[in-house]
Amino acid sequence: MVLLSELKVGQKAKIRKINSKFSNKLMAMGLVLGAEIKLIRFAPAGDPIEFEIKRYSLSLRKEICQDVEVLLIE
Amino acid sequence: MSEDTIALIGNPNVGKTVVFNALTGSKGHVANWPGVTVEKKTGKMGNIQITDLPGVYSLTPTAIDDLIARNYILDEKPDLIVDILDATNLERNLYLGLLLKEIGVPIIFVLNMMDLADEKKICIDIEGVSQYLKAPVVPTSAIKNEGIDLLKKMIRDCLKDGLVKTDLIEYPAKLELQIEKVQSYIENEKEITKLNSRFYAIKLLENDAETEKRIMPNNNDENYSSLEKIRGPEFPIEFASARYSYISEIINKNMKKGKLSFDSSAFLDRFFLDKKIGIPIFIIIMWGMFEFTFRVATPFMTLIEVVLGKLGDAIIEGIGESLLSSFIVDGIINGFGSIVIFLPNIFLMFLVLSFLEDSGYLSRAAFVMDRLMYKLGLHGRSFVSMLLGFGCNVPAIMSTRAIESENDRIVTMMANQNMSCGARLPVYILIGGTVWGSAAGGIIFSLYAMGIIIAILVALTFRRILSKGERSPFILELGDYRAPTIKSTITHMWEKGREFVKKAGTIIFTVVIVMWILQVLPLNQADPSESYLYQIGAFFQPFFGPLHFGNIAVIGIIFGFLAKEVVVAAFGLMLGVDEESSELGPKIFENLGNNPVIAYSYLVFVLLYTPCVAVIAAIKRESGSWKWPIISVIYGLLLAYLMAFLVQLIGGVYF
Ligand SMILES: Nc1nc2c(ncn2[C@@H]2O[C@H](COP(=O)(O)OP(=O)(O)OP(=O)(O)O)[C@@H](O)[C@H]2O)c(=O)[nH]1
Repeated sequence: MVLLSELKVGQKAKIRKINSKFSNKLMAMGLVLGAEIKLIRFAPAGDPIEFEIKRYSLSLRKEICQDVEVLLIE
Repeated sequence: MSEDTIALIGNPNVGKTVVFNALTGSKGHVANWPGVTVEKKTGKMGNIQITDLPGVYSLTPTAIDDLIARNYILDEKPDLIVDILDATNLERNLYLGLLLKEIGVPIIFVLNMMDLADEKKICIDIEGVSQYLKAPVVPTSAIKNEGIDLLKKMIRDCLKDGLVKTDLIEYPAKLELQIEKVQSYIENEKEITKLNSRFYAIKLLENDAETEKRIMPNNNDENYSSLEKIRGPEFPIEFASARYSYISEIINKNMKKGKLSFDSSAFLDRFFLDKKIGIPIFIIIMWGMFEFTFRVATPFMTLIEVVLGKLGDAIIEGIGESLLSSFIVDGIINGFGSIVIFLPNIFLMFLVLSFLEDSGYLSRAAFVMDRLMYKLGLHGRSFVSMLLGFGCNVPAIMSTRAIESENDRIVTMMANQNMSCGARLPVYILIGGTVWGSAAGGIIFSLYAMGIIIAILVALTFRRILSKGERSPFILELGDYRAPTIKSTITHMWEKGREFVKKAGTIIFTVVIVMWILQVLPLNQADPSESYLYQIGAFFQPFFGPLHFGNIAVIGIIFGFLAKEVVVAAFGLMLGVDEESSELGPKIFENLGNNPVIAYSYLVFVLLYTPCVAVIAAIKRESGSWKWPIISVIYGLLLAYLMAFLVQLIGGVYF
């Protein structure tokens, strides 16, 4: 099991499960089962993190990424 | 026949405002939504009433904006909804579209930003998308006014012919089964009709708290427990996933994307968000904004002063010195002057902020700053509110509504008043210039810096007090960079500055007139010290005795509570000299014991003491209770007194 917060720059993964209080918002933003997500970069201070999902750019705090389980894509 | 109503909705930043203006001919009318300061914009297209809803991503409320949009659609039941989609970001934008279809109101989709889509080599089969959505789709480039006529025609046609409600998505069998069950539980509840029972059933299965409140307010009856039993924890994500897979199908079938040789947004982000230079760039941009604002504003302010001064002189010369001329010059012109003198500063600041916002940089600034802001008890988004505070705290307080958690909003509001607004600057300039001459710049800078440091400390303190509450998540879209257009930058500037003008037009003007009346009464004074204004100063002066503030300085503070813009005007009235007169500074300094330390402590007091009434009212509206404005007044006063005292203590006034 890999958490979204554990991805490295450039890595891609698929969303497996969301366990967050804010899951509704996350789902609206495109984090749904099987959706492909790619880590673009970390903010200069290391947090938040920029991802690419559903062909756009979304930034999330690390904290919330710990509530999202993903499957790595090779 | 009652007139038709339509509502515009869409994700944030899709060009809703531009479309609204194009449809209504920019003749929108702004009011507030009941109970909150979120602005409600309505306008007319012929005899059709158009309402602009706040930009939202979904219909599950997380912030006030979402709730307003959703309740409007459910309660006001507009005849038609126009959902505006960003053609360059169709996939995510369609999610809201599908949710809206589920409600079952008639809907038209607008594919806006077609010009940008072309640039990005995105090719969309409009007809195909329309078939999938079972609704009309109109392509537009609102900023170029392209497609607007077609949209107008489509709106009229749809209102005339009516659109039939059609379900789009067939959810997986397991979910459909549950939807049917829930529909049977709720069919007798009020508000439920054949048309919307499916929507409410889905929302209940998605654990939507607002729907529960609405449909099943007493959650201990039989129906509720049956619902509890069939709800699965995985349902919400399965619904969302089903919607997105329908969207993927739409996209795969109807959208083609050519290869771009150069992605300018990604390129710019390599610099703006870079690990090493991202923060320095941010600091330079902020510094540039202040430089620009103050440099460009200064000549305007001088010009305004000169023109009004000359006007006053001309009037006195024309009709002679009398009560009337005094009323015109010291009351009306002075009141008017106290207002316009602030416009250059505030509007230039909002101009730059709107430019940054429209260009797409402001969301990057939140991204870059979030870590630090979070540590300080704030949120990446609070950062913009804090910046706005340098212009005027009223729009700053209003902007906190974009922050989701109540606690984060309160902390941001409480800290905000310490950001030195444009109205405090003239006091610094007047006294600073008199006392320190060319070194005044450093003194003024120290005041701004002190405001920021105190804002941080206040934020940390309130964060501690509110520690139990939850914090907002940081879920922020980083949209593409765009070249801002003059028109929309100006529109956005005006949206921010409007509140200030309203306040200026009413409060400030009234206060100056009232001060003038208090100064001329009672009539036939043998000595200015007989005036009521003077008496008020004398009455309050003992409270400030320990701080060595004279009665004129005290009057400034008292009326500054109503509007900080009038502090300098109050000095002028009390001393019977023009605001522009070079005598004013030295006389105030005299009133502060000709002591630089006391003068500095006075400026510190002006910086920190209670926010003005307009800000207090804004805090009341935005926080929904009197508790927070009262706290902000009390802590402001105590803090100002304490800090002024400390300055004098350290400065050796007491020894
Ligand atoms: N190129 C292009 N830019 C557009 C178009 N429509 C709007 N814009 C720009 O997009 C930006 C956002 O437009 P707004 O109308 O403020 O968007 P909004 O949806 O009202 O935004 P919120 O008020 O934040 O929800 C502005 O800078 C507009 O100039 C368009 O058709 N083409």
